[in-house]
Amino acid sequence: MNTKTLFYIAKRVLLAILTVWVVITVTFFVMHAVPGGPFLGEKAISPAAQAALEAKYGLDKPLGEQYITYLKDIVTKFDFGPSIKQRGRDVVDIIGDGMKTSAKLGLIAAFSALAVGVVLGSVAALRRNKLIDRIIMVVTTAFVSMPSFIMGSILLLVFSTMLGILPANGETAKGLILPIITLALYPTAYITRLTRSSMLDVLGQDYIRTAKAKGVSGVKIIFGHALKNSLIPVITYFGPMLAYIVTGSLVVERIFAVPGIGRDFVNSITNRDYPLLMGTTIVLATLVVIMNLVGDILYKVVDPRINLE
Amino acid sequence: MKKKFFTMHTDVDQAFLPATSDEKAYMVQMRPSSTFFKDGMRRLLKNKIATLSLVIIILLTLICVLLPFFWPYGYDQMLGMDSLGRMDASYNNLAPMQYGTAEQEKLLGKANIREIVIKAPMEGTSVTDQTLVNAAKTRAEAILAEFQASDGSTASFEALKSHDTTESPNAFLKVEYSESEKVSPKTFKDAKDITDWIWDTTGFGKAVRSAGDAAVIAAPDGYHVVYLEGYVGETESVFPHFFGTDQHGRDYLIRVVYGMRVSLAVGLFASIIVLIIGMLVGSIAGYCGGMVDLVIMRIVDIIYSLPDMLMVILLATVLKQVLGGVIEGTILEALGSNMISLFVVFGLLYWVSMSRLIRGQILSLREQEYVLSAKASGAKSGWIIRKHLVPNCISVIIISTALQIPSAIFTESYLSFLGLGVNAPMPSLGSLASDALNGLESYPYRLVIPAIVISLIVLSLNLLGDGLRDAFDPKLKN
Repeated sequence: MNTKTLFYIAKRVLLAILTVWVVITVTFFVMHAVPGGPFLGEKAISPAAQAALEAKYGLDKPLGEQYITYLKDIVTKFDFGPSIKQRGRDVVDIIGDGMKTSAKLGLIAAFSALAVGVVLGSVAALRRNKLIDRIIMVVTTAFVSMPSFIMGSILLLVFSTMLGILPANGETAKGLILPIITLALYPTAYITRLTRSSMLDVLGQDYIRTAKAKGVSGVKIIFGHALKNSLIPVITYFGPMLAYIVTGSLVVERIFAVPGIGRDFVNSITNRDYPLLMGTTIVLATLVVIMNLVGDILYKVVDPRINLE
Repeated sequence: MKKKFFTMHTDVDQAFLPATSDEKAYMVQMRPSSTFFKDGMRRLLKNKIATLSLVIIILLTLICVLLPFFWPYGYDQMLGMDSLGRMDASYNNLAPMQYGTAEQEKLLGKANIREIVIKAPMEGTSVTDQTLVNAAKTRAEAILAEFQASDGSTASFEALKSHDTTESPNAFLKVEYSESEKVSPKTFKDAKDITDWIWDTTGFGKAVRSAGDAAVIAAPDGYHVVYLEGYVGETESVFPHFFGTDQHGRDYLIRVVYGMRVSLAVGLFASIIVLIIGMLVGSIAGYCGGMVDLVIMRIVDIIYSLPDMLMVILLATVLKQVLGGVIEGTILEALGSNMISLFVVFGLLYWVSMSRLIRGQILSLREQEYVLSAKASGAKSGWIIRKHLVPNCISVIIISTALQIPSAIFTESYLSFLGLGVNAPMPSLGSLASDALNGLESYPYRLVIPAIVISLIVLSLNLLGDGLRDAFDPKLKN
């Protein structure tokens, strides 16, 4: 690793930190711009009680001071304050609980998408324009055009309502199968297409022809040369895929009633639980930013030829 | 000059004669002049998949625009609700091609229903079941004739006469009578009292109940009471509910069409907003360069690395409430706060990739030789932008706008699915799918229909976008 790469990484890390700060700031001020405040819509609440509540949550202080406190708590203590609607629970605890399920869901989906996608993509590329390639391409095109909520609803309809094989509720281990499939289908389709096109690209390269001319066996060419090189674009997709899984999990967890962070997020919107909404937004956003960062750096490390701006 | 016999020299006099007009005409290849747009369209139409997608999009657009004008039902019209605001629950949750009660009556010709109560004497053993029925029929015909005279209807009489069976439940003439039971004389207070009595004794008087003026009189001792339900009146055709109705008795097909309308409109307008903002910012950054470019591009970088969907949800949640008060009473209210917040969010977040693209284009185009040569020939900036930069950018602009539309539709339906999209009762494909989840077991088609439509729209727009890219910018292919 030369200085140029290190400089690039440093620049990217700085940008990521800046982005997270922007997310926190935007989230904070946007949430405080909502008219009426978080206690609007509660059952008849006396002015005294409201003042007491506001004092308890620190809402009576000037906005700037609240912002500084909020930022300081996050950075130093990783504290997002208490939830307003789930009395007695801290946002961090709720997020932590949700994260256990969501992380399991997301990671399994991500890795199965990677495994299946790379295999299918390679098969399609090696059997170019054959029947199996055509089938794979048609199916993946259809999956890429289908929003995750449609996919989840259809899977729910087919496998749990009509066939009754899998439970509709995602609270058990068996119930996580459908959400995982839902989340994995789009990335799988995308990775398949990505692998196919980059594999085709690599197979046309001179060094593959050279290897063939030297009499290297097909297996060795595919696994030793072609696959390794064609995975580079797949690595760049790593970040966007995680972003997709994070946003996809919002609706998927709603459809299958998975007790994850995505459901917390959606519920906090409908319940107007502002601290929870802010907390989940910031945590999820930070996650996405970090994943994008890791993906970019990995890309650079894997392929040093890549020209950095 | 004298020519040597074996010389290899060309005979200059012979070989370099001026060409005749015939020879000149042979060299000219006549080809109709083609513009950039025509050329692209020709290539696009050669691509079968893209053409098919284009046809589907045009068809869907036409349906969206035209169908609501012809459709007899409105998207927010609860069919079971009459002018007084009473609900007829038989309209709710209809399966495809089924009808509500009143509509069924129309179809069967029961529009002008009249309940007839016949009294027949019970004395004497000669009165058999059949004679009783016949007596009832005669009386019914008499009443019908009366009815016709006042109403002017003619079609009904035939129907009544030809359907005198007592068994078939679908018969136009239904006769019920009690032989053994003696009906004691009754006195009634008013018409409602009478109908209530019929309801209680026969159990089939639902329609009688509403027709309070039924000719019923007290049955004295020794009479059989024959209740005769006549299905009178002309049959009317009722416009079918092809996709059934939803839980509020609203025609589902028109709701899907309106949802499609919302999706396509949001896709189009959001892309236009993105295009305008992205083009402005991108061309400013590209053309000015230097410090301006640096600052704009850092902002773009940050917005670009923001997790867009989370920010969109956050902004949509908040803007919905902030805008709700602001737009009240203005023309924007018709659009709904959700819709406007959607556009604002698109305007705030989605212009970055467009502006990056256009900046890159302008930066590279600025350095092209033909721009330099234009400058050298004394062309002004306006001329260079109009004649060189814009035409060379246009293919990139067309393609990325075309690909922006499905992504905007995607986002809109996603937000609607989470309940952050268009305001109810306006449907959107996302909210239709979301609503369908509640009754998934009983009405799966309510999910399947919007799911198919949205996938079809997004798929064909994507394929069309790919086709446009291949047609208008062959350099980008593969």
